[in-house]
Amino acid sequence: MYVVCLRFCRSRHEAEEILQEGFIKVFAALQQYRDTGSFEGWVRKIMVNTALQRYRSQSALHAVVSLELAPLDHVQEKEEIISGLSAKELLALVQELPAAYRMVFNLYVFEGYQHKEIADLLDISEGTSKSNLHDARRWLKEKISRENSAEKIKSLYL
Amino acid sequence: MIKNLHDIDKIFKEGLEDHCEPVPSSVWESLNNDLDKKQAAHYREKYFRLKKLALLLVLLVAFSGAYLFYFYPATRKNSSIAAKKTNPVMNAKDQTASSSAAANKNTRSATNQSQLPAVTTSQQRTIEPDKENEIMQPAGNGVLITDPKHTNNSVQKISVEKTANRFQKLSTEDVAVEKNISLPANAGSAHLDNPEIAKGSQLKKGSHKYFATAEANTSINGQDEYFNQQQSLTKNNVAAASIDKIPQMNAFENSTTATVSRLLEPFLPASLSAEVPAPGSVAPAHALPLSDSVTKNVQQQIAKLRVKNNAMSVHRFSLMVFGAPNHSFTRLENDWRLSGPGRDKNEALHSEQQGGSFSAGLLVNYGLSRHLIIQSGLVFSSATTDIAPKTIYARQDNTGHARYELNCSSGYAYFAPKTGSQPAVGDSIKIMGSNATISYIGVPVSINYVFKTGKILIKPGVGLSLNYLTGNHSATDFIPDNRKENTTISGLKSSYLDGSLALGVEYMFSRRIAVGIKPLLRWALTSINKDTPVKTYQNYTSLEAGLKINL
Repeated sequence: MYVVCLRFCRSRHEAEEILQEGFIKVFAALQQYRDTGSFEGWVRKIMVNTALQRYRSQSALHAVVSLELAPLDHVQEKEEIISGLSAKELLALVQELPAAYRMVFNLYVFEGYQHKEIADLLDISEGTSKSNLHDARRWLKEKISRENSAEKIKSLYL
Repeated sequence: MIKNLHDIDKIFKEGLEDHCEPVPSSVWESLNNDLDKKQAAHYREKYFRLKKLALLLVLLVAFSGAYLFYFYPATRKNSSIAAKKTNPVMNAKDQTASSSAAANKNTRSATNQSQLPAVTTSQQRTIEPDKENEIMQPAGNGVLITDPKHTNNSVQKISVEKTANRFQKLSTEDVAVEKNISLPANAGSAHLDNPEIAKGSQLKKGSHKYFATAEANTSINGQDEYFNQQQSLTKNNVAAASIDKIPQMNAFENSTTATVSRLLEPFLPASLSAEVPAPGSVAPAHALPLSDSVTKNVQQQIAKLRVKNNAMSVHRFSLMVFGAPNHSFTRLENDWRLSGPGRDKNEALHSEQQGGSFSAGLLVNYGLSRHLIIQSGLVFSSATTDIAPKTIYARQDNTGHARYELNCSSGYAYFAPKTGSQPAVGDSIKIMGSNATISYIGVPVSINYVFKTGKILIKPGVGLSLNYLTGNHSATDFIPDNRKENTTISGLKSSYLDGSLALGVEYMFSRRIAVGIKPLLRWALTSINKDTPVKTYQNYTSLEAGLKINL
């Protein structure tokens, strides 16, 4: 659950707060749990909802970042790139995503929500959800590509 | 790891699927502490509610017990007296006596005094209450105190004679003067037997004269000389004196008349009880049987006194108009499903302040008994909450449109800017402040116990009130264009229930008009809103001042 919280947050401190708040909700609402699904799934949903609630309450504070994405021609030219990224690095990349992109990316990729559901959860339109997901992917590819290039350059000089 | 970036979703999903990171121990410690606090708060809240219920039950039981303790014996006593009053034997006697008295009145003028038998003291013991013998008993004005065994007792003679002289002489002399009749020096009340004089004496129905007249009738028993000279006059007194020999006068009636005479005792002349000798000679006045007419009269007097007392104490119905400044204080609870940072009770407590509040209403009181009053009516109450300047954000409202949302303890208020473009979700705007006003019409039902000290009534009470939402609006000042916008508040329930504790004090200016003040505590039992991050329980303390009119 900690990783789930980390994915939705920019910092570890924020993830710890969500984890704590989420577990309090779990204990407070324990009698509401029905045996229809897995307990882990129920707890996970509460954690996600807690993270979304925090996001909604601070939505005005999340400045919309206008990404000046670099053209991905050099990425598209290569069909395959070598990316030796560890799980921690992947997690760090997700955390670095702008908040709006991070939420949509997490909900779509990791939690399996559809765009309509995401739009309802985040109080945005379905088109915005699709757009944000697309931008999140581009942002991640760019980031990975840049880091990959930097590593290659680094290995050449070293 | 070779991956195709076009399938970046899969890269991240597989890469992080089984990834685990240890949670810092500080998180578990703080979680443990927080859970303990939450649990304690939960139990505290739970037991606080139980305490409230227990307190209400105790108050109800206390009031019920007080009611039973103070009123039930009296009610039982009154009902037993009433039952005796309505006893068929008694009624039959009353009717007999009434009809006899009426018949006597009719035959009175036709009766020749010379035809009446001369009555001696011994004859009084055997005379039956026939029509003729009851003639001279003043209609509803006679008192029977003579016992044949004691009619010759010298002490009684003296006391009765004194009384007769003291109370009756004046009236008979007055009448005699008016009628130009010369009285014997010791005639006393005997002249009452003269129809002319008796007629005159009946015109004077002062209470003391009235009783003295009756008593004076008995004095003739000790005036043998006068009886010899005025034989025809004694028949009237014998009639009164012989009623205690009526065979139908059973023990039940004796006890009833004894009760009535005991009630009457304060109104009897002091001489009747003060100068009556010890048992063996003359029985005390309150122990002697009374005639039916006296019983009737006493009952009338008692009824009048009761009416008077009731008029001064408890009226069945009364109206009260009042107004009251309120001090409202809210109790806030987070709704775990919806609350969060910036949307919880801490935020509400930090940014909100209770403003002015008042109540006014019309209450109807109904006296269940002399000390217990049930009260109901209509009460209008209004409360204002001031919200500090803050930044509000645009969200989707229930209709799906993005509008600025002002979240307060009462509920939500949505604003759409009249000028400029439609806000997008997440847009923010600053407000100078806001006032949220909510008004209710309540239907209270309360039980009040009445303590009466002179003209002051002290009425502690407990009750419940169902309050219906009649109005709600929020007036918000926006900084950018310096405009004020009014809107309604969403999330409020249509009604809520509260309990009340009150201590009313009333001063009675007259039987009908009273003014009073009543410190009152109204404690919300249900929240005023639903589906909001913060549940609000609206409590009040108020000081009602009003005017009461007894109907």
